[in-house]
Amino acid sequence: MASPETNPEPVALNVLLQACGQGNRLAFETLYRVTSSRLFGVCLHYVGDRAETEEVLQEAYTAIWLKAGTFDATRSSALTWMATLARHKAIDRRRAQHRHEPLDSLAEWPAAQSVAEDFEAYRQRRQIELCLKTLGKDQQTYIRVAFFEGYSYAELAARHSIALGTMKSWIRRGLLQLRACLGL
Amino acid sequence: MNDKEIPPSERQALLVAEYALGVLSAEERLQVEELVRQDPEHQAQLAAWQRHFADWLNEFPVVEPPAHVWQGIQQRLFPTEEPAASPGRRWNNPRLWRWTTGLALAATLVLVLLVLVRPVQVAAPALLARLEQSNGSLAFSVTLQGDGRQLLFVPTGKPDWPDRSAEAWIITTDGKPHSLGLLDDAKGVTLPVPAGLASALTPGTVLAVSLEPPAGSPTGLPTGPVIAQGKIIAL
Repeated sequence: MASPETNPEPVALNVLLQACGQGNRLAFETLYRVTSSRLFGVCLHYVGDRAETEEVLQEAYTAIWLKAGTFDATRSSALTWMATLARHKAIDRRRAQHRHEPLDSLAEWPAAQSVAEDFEAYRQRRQIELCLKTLGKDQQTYIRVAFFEGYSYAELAARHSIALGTMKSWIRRGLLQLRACLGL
Repeated sequence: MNDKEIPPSERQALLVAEYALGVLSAEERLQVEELVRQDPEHQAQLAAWQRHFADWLNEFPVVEPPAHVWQGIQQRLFPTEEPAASPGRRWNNPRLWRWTTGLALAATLVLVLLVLVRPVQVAAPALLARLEQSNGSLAFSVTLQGDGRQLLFVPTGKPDWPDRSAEAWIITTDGKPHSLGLLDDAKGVTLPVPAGLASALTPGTVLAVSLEPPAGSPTGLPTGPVIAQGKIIAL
């Protein structure tokens, strides 16, 4: 994902994932070799703890194997499909980690905005960034924060000291505007 | 914006967007997955959202997981099997993972060959070859493109061969190597399948990569060390 020299050919990955759907374990093994460092990076971002991230990665690839038959190459690329699945697993783990912790401890997480700022260089040419700029400031901020933090509305509201209704409203209105701008 | 303020026509579309953004609970996600399964329109929307958000996902750093993660996955999925019987057993050896820390190329190459016999959108893979040498990480994935007229070599590890070129070869059944062309350590390279060799891309055929002078082998045959090789097999 991040660097061109480690970017496997999307078509090859699609084919491998489809072969997994047909029960081909050699394809699965190959797919793991080619994609696991990318998915591990995604999961590590959300989970933080390495040992827990390893468990999440195992859950993710287990699910990838079991769900591979539902992958539709005409709608999605294998890497996006897999990374999305892994991200959801990681988000669930992150939320479970912090469910019973006082909010203070959440401050130890790197602020999602600083993560997002690192990507400034990549933003300009992307449609989602262009559309995001058409939203109000708070909407922009919290859609990005929601993505990079992976929290639920309630957690986002508590973490950023914003009323739950307001947080929901910003993000939902923002998503609907974004949808219109992206032509979805 | 509470639920009443959202136009009914937009509620489902919003749920799909919220799913892609990641703000829903695991239970809500299951509901959306059911919704999406039943409606191709929502399916297409979700895929589009995920494509857009993938731009963000793509920027997370690439981090190599430790070898035991793969073992754990195998144990979860195929618990009753003897691990040693797995063709991937050698990959579980931690020594085989060193390529990620940038160790020498000669110890670290694997080449994957994927051959599609039918157009990509509808075809299942027909052939796969994994070429590896002494250490088990992937160095290239290779797909047959353009109705079998081109081979796409994509580096998947971090090979490094300063001052030399990596040249790809196909070894025909008579034992003769035929050059496919030079590879790039940083990006995918599409090589035309030489005339008369398309029929050689069958299970059992050996592919190899050797290190050559920058302009490639001066003799038309491999002159440097073979750094990866393996056979095409049927998937």
